[in-house]
Parts: sequence; C-alpha cells; structure tokens
Amino acid sequence: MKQLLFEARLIAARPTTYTPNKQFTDRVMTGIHSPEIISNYVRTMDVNKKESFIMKVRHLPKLAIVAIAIGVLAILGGTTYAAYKLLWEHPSVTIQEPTTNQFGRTQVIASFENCTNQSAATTFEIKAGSTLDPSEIEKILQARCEIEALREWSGTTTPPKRPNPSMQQTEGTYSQTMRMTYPVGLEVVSIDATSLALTGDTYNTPENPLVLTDKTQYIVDNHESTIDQIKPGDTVLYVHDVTYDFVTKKTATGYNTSSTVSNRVVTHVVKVDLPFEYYGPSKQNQIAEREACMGNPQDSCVQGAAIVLYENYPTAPILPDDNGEVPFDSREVQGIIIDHSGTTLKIQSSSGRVFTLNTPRDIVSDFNRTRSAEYNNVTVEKGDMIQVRYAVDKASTSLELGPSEIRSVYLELNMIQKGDPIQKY
Amino acid sequence: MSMMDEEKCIAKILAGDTDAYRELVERYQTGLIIHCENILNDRQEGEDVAQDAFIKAYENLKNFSASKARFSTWLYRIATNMCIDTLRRNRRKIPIEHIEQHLEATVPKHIEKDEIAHLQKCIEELEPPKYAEIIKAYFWEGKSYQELATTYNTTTGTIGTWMRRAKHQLKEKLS
Repeated sequence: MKQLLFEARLIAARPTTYTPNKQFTDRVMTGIHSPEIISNYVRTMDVNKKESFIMKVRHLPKLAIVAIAIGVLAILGGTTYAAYKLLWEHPSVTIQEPTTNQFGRTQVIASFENCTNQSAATTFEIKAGSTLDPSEIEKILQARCEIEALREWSGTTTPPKRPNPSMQQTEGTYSQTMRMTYPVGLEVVSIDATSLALTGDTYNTPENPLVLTDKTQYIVDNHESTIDQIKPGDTVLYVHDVTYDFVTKKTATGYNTSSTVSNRVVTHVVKVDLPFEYYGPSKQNQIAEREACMGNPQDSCVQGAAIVLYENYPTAPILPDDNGEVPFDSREVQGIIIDHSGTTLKIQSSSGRVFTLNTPRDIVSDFNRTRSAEYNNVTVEKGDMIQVRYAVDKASTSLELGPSEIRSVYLELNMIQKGDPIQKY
Repeated sequence: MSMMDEEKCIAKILAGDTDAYRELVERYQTGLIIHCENILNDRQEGEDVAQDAFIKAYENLKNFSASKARFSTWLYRIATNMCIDTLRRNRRKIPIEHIEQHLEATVPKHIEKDEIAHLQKCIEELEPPKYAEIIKAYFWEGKSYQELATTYNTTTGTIGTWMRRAKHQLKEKLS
C-alpha cells in the first residue's frame, strides 16, 4: 500500500511542461465522437489479450449489426511483449467426453499442459447454431494455446535503436519500432526470400504481400528451420516489426506528437500444424468458456457478448474507510429470467437459486420499447439469459438485490461470426 | 486543475462541449494507465482498459455527481470494475482486496506546491541521471517498461531493477 501511495505522489508531481500521450488522448476522443465505439467491456473471444474480438453493443444505429472485429493490431500503437527463449514447449490440450449442460449446450471439460494462462480444468460449451463437432474443440483450444505461446515469446530480440524519448519534448521527427504477433493463422499462397503472401480469413488477411528479409527467421516444429520448409498451403503464424514515424510539434501548451506507420517487416514465420481455420475467428468463435461466477462459485457464468440493459456507477460508497478497507464485495451471477414485473426481475441461476433484482426503472420494458430496434428487434423476455454485476456487504448471503447494489445488467448473446444477426443466448 | 475547475470542465462537457473532455483525459491518463497496468500486470491491456474507462465515464457523465466525489475517484472505480471484467474474461485470478488497494493508492492526490517542487528537485538529483529519466518517462510521460527497455537497449527486467533503485533513492532523499 505504502509503495502505491508513493507512486501516487510521483504522478501528482508531474510538471505542466510534460505533455501526456497525445495518441492515447486522440484514441479516447475518437471513441467518444465515433458512433461505432468499440468496447473492451464485452468480448466474444479471448484468443489474445490485445487482439481479442471486441463488440459494440450499445447505442448502435438502427439496423446496425454488431461488429465483431479483431482489435487494435494496426490501429493502436502496441507494445512489445516480454522476452522468452526462441523455442517453447509444445502446448497440449485434452478434453473429456462431451455432455449436454442444463442450458442445452454441448460442453466439454478441457485440461492443458504448457499453455499460458490455462492451468486448471476449464469448461467450454459450443454456441447455439454452431456446426462444430465436439471433437474440434480440442483443436480450437490447441490453436489458442499456440498463438498465446508465440505472443509471449515474440519480442525476444532487441528492435533497432531509436532516438531518446526526450525527442517528444523537442520539435522534429523520430521513429519507433515495435514487435507484434499477428493473432490469426493464415494459409501460405506464395513465399520467397523477400515476400510472403497469405490467404484464409475473410476479415483478417493482411495487406499482401508481407515483407521478408534475410533476417527473417523460420520456425517449424518449434525449432529454427529454413524458408524452404514452408510451402504454399501451409498454415503459418507470424511476428512482425512495425515502425512508427513520429512528428513532434510545439504548441501553445507544450508539445504534441502524431504518428504514422512507415514500415512492417516480418521477423518470424512460424509453421503450425492445424488448418488455418482453427487459428482464426471462424472456429475460435464457435465456443464459449463457462466458469464459476465471481463471488458466486456455486453458479457458472458463460463468457461472451452481451447487450447492456442497465449500468449504474454511483459515486458512493466507493471509497475505502480509514483502515483502507473497502466495505463491499463485487460479485456477478447469470440466470434465466423466470419472472418480470415492472422494476422487479427474477432470474434463476445454474445452481437453481432465484435472485430478485430491484432496479430503479423497468429496464426490460425500457429496452424493448426504446432500444430493441437498434438490435434487429431483439426483445428481452422470460427464458432469456441475464448477467448481473453487483456490490454487496462482504457477509451478505441475500439473493435480493436493491437498486444501490446493482452495478450492471446484461442480456447475454450468442454471437459466432462477424455479420451474424443478433441472437440471444 | 482544482475541484472547482474540474466541476466547470464537467459542466462544459455536459453542456455540449465534447472537446473539453480532452482536458480530463490528459490530466488523468498517465495515472489511470498505471493503475490498470498494476491490476492487470500487462501494459497494453492496461492502456486498452484505461481508454475504455474514459469512454465509459464520458457516456455516464450525466450520472456523476461532483458534490459527492471527485471525478478521478469515480473514473478509477469504473476502470477498476473493467479491470475485474478483463481478469475474469482472461481467466486470471487476483484477490479482489488487492484490486481495492490499488484503487486507493493510485487515485491522483492533491499535494502542496512546495512538496511538488521538492519532489521534482529530488528526482532531478537522482544518480545516475538515467534513474531520473526513467522516473520521469514512466510517471510523467506514461512510457511503458517495454518502451523504456527499447530506448535503453536493455530488458524490462533491468528497467524494473533501475526503477526500484530509483524509487529507493528517492524515498531516502525525501525522508
């Protein structure tokens, strides 16, 4: 705690001559001005931390289709990832026999070895409307682990030197190169010493051809290899160095820096074993993870896209008391609507418990009356899946939630591919 | 920006001057990114969540009551909730009480002018000079450890070591 309080003082001591990150500010302002705000708050897929599918599910124009888009790779200035050894342990996934869960979905329990961020056995279910065979879940998760392993590893070598960061306080131009992993696997169309052309995913094929150099490394079966071992038809992942050119100009209040991408060079081409579809959204989006709900471990919550029905960010009580203790627990639960009457909503969770939500207004009728048209006339009804985030006393066991306790209510969706019409869970 | 200035800024935004929100973003972005980075243990995710928190705060600004709390406290609470969501969706576990500690610790503090001057002077006096540079780059310019590692042609681990030494030296100067 003391360490963090010290850091707060350091932040507070910033001189006014130090300008903040203009790129970050511009991104926020663009997000505010643009009607197609993309939000990290709701995700359909979790292949990569940064390049996850991000869904916009609030305030869409009429008849807008929720956009499922790969985030930020080319848009936001990324950061390089922690350095790891060149070769990594091959991740493996094992799944148990599929079963049908209480929500009518086919599900499996998967266990992992050498898979980053996956250690405990985890439950995945196949989304409604999917044509996936349960045996494919293992391949989807395998591909996911391989992409994550490459992400963690990339950035091991040092990118080229760039000018001192004090250049942001000096008028002029400078360049910065960052190493990033492309989060989708694709099929090789052609490859030679200077270029790589890829195909495969409708929405995520990069501008072809990509630039290869004599410094590009080739990896096959998790060890260094040569270019001739990678052929048309192979599935590959790749890592590339992206160079940004910055221009710093003096303004009345300080300095402002803008940037453009001037170059992209592939540093590593990694041949992988599965068909390219398993490394991209076409397959990855067919499953959803089901896990214990935060604060309600006896219930399970499925991860996925959702529409905000209600949000509440009160200004109090949110501050710690004099002992630094925060007086509440943050919890979540999902359940099927079993009753709706005005401002009271009852949902039944996976454990069979019935939660009663008391909201300040009739959020169901409000949505159906005023916002349904934005979402292809989807309406909230009995039998629909709702997620609630709430804050209660740490010792609370009550299943009745009041307006001051509820933080957000979502209508859970079942979204698979970009361009799909909105479908409730 | 004093609380009164902040209230005026918020009033302008609610009256339709959207661009006035830039002032709040510029003021709080560095601390908020560090706050999110500390919780998520990932710089890029921290920036992504901080960005979304600003957007969400803007969208909910009409619900904010300046008489009940500072904008920064409210903003940080929004960001903390979003960090919790991110941790949940990335299947990472962290005790919630640690997150609450982060909330209190990195919300911007009001410190007196003479303390500011003293802090700035102590930072400039750090030896070797690169310690001062990385303190300023991280806490004032919002640079990440990875960006600093690139600048100094070293690893994030080394940057972490320099940062610890720099902060230790600073604390001794300030005590």
